[in-house]
Amino acid sequence: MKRFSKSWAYQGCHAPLVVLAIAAVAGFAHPAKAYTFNTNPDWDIELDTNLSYTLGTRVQPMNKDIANNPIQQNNEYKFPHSGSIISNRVDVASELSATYQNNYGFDVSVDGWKDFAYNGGVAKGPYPESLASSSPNGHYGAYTLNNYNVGGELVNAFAFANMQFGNVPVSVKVGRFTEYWGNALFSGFQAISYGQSPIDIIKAVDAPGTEVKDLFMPRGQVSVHIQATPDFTIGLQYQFEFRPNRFPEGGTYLGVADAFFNGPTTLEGAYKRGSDYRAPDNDGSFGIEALYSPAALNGTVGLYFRQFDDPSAYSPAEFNFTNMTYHLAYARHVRLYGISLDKNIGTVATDFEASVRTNTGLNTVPLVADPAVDLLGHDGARGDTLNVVANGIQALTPTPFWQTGQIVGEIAWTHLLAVTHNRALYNAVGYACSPGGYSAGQGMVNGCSTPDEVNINLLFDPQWLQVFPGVDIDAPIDVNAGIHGNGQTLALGGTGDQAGSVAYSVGVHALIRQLYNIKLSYSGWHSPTAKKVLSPFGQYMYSGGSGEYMWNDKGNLELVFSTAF
Amino acid sequence: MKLKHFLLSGFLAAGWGYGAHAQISQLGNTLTDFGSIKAGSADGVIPAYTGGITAMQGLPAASATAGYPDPFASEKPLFSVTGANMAQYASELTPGAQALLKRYPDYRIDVYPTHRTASYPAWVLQNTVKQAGQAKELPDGAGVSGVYGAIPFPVPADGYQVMWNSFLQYHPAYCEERFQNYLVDSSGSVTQLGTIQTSWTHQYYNPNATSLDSNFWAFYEVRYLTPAAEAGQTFLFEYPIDFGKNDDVTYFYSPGTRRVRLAPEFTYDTPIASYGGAIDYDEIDLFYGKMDKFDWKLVGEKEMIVPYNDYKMANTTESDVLGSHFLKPDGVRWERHRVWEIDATLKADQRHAFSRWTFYVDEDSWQIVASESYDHSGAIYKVGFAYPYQDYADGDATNFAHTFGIYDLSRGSYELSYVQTQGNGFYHCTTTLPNMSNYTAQAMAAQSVR
Repeated sequence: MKRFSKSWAYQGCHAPLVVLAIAAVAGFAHPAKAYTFNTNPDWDIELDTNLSYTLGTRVQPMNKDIANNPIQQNNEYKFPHSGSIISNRVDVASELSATYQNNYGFDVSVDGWKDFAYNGGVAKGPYPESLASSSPNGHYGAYTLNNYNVGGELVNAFAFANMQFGNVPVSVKVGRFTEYWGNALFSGFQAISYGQSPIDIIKAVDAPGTEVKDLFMPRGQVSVHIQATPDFTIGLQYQFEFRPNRFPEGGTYLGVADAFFNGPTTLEGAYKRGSDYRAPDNDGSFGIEALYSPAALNGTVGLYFRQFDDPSAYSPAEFNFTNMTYHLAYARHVRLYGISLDKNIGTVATDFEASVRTNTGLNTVPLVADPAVDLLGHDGARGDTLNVVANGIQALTPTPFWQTGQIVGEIAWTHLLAVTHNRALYNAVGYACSPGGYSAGQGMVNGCSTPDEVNINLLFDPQWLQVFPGVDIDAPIDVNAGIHGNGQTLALGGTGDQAGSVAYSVGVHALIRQLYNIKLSYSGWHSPTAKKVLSPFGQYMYSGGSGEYMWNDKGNLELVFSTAF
Repeated sequence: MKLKHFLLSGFLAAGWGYGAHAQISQLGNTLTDFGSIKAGSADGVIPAYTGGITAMQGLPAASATAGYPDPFASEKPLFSVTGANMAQYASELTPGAQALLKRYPDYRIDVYPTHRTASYPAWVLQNTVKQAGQAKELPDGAGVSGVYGAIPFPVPADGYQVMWNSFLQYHPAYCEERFQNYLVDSSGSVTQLGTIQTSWTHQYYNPNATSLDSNFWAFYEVRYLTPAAEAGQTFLFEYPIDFGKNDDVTYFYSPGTRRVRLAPEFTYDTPIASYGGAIDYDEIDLFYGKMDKFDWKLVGEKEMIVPYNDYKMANTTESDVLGSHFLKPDGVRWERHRVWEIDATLKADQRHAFSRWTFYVDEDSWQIVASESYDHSGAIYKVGFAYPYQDYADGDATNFAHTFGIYDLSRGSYELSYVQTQGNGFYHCTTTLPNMSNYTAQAMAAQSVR
């Protein structure tokens, strides 16, 4: 939860994104607005639709040291040149909410998308097909097609009731929706909210302008909040639907390796994609939170306990020696004990949270080569971690350089408390990374986990209002960097939890009459790479790296038009 | 300045207690219980106070949902002020109104008969008289103490006291409203800033209590229903009666994050981004916030032409009210009322977008009805007016809605807040404080759908 979570800090000014062109064609002569039905004064019925169009282009040319890797063929050669169009995508999102007397109602939302850049098949590199392809027939798997080319899904579908029992307000939601606890803004993998809902990392990396609520994937659950007194709240959550994260798929621009994760059907033509080990659909995760906001504190203290099934896999792939297939495996019954505090310090809104996760999935050696350890590849290393997150949000006060805006910073630290299961599978210094282990000799540059890891996120977003009549402009710059150690869990989908890895974006965004958005942004990544070795075909390539080093040549420029009505 | 009953501030600094007490004895005699001059003006322009709108008979039928028809709809303007004849009325026009008349040849001020419609429940009047002279002004305008359920300074001795009277003007324990906000940019194009639903709690005016149970005299919850990009965004503002104990507390719920966070930066002259920067946080309701950046001087009480009884704001349409560069003159009713003039100048060691800020506070309602702010070259920067009307069917809860608009003369744009243009608006108040457990950061998040 790295790159994509930057817009957590955005407020309403960063609207969901849309197609000016389409709006014009559709003939919205008058400024459009959310449609409000006025049938009955007791009912508020609102239908909002967001339309967005994204045009993306590769900027960096192919880096041969990445492209020569046999497992990066489909990814690198899909859009091989500087200037290749990497996304040509339309997104539509509609949300219908109905509220009766402000207190009862339902909310249903649906998304649909079409990306013309993914109309073709899997691209091949210059190597023999058997080794270069993640697909035996050159077609994308159904999962990849659905998520990258054309697809749609039911997002929210829930009913809610805000009731009063005596003097105690009780709010209940039932159905498919999202809910997050704690205070972390960026560091989702270290947050109290970790695993409360899965994350659509595909959308996050492909459409960085998407509003965050559209990145979290709602899940079936019941949530109850009891405002016992004005300063004391109890929250309960029971989840009856498990959904794993969506990962960047092999054969796409920001794929991590050709054969990973859910779309590819073969590993280098040699092994088939097998069945995952994951929680059942009805997984029964649950949590309880207690929030106390005494007037004297001028802030809120929270205590949390959760038990959940991990939406993130142990490892990019595990191996089943019985079937000779590969798959993903997810930890179950992770427990989290957390405490949070939010309080103003001067004019800075500061948040702090600390949590201990026990039995959490640790960074597990991929494609385990030792059947003696785990014949089915159904498990991984597990252990206990301490996660500490602190952040601050400060509004920019007017200066000659900007009118307003904000600066947001967050620092997150994870400390490994213990490795409790499958120590031999833990891809870490002193475990599988030690000499004689699975990643012998590669050291930290191969992503081996360390006992401590620290990363930072910074968002600087100066804003200029009404630069032209009706036009507000801002220029968000964000940076996510790993500054110490490598993460203990698999934080796929970004960088920054690996020392020396950096993800950044620089953009300029115009909001026109609070209705149309145009955003141009450049996104880039840099992660440390390991020494070069000769590929099986006799060309030099990086033997590995920390984090998503295969994105070191994926810098891209995106132009997004969006509107909501 | 046809009438004065203030004492010069230099004298007041030495002994306002004596002066104020002398005047306090006039409450209920020459002054109303809440401190305005009971008598009409000598020339008959301003009538004597006779109990406000709740004492009037034959009001049109009204309700929160049906709206509040204009009780004075049949009246015709007594005269109109334009750029051509403004010199004749210069002494009764605020500098802001004069600036608009000079800048826009089509701008017009239609002046109607004056109606002193502000109303108070009996218990607030009793409290005000009983507690008069007891309220303590905290240094630097940081707050008041020793008073509850009353106009704190019915006989104000300085600018800070008038401003606190305006913050603590009579507002019933609970109000709900839904309205639209607009920005009209310098090209004359209209931007819909959204439909907003708010809940106000005024713990300071709870008829069933005798003191505040916390440092906060009011909570204000603001929920955006539109535009689609901001639907679901919610603010909860908590207003301290003593800024020395607590600053404002602002909670912000964003549907993008589905969380509540504290937003301490939403203060002073930070522009409100969702308004396209048309106003700053301290310009909500023409002024709200800490007064510590300015020195506040009470200039005096004057008879001025200000917007009043503006029932059109309760039921209008975009095209009826929004002109290219100013509110359509037919949509605004102006009357002559006595107002307290306050002149705030920026302290030498403080930074703010304005060097000087002037306010005009209605003697009856204690509402700020007009303002102008000056840039650092001394030119008028922004001109604000409130467009008050009342929910006169709400009995003891009757009070002025806080529709206001601000012209930005440097940009040539203007905004209008809290106007009902789409038929789905309402304004309704009661004297019963709601269950305060619903007005917490956590409840705000729990009850949010988006």
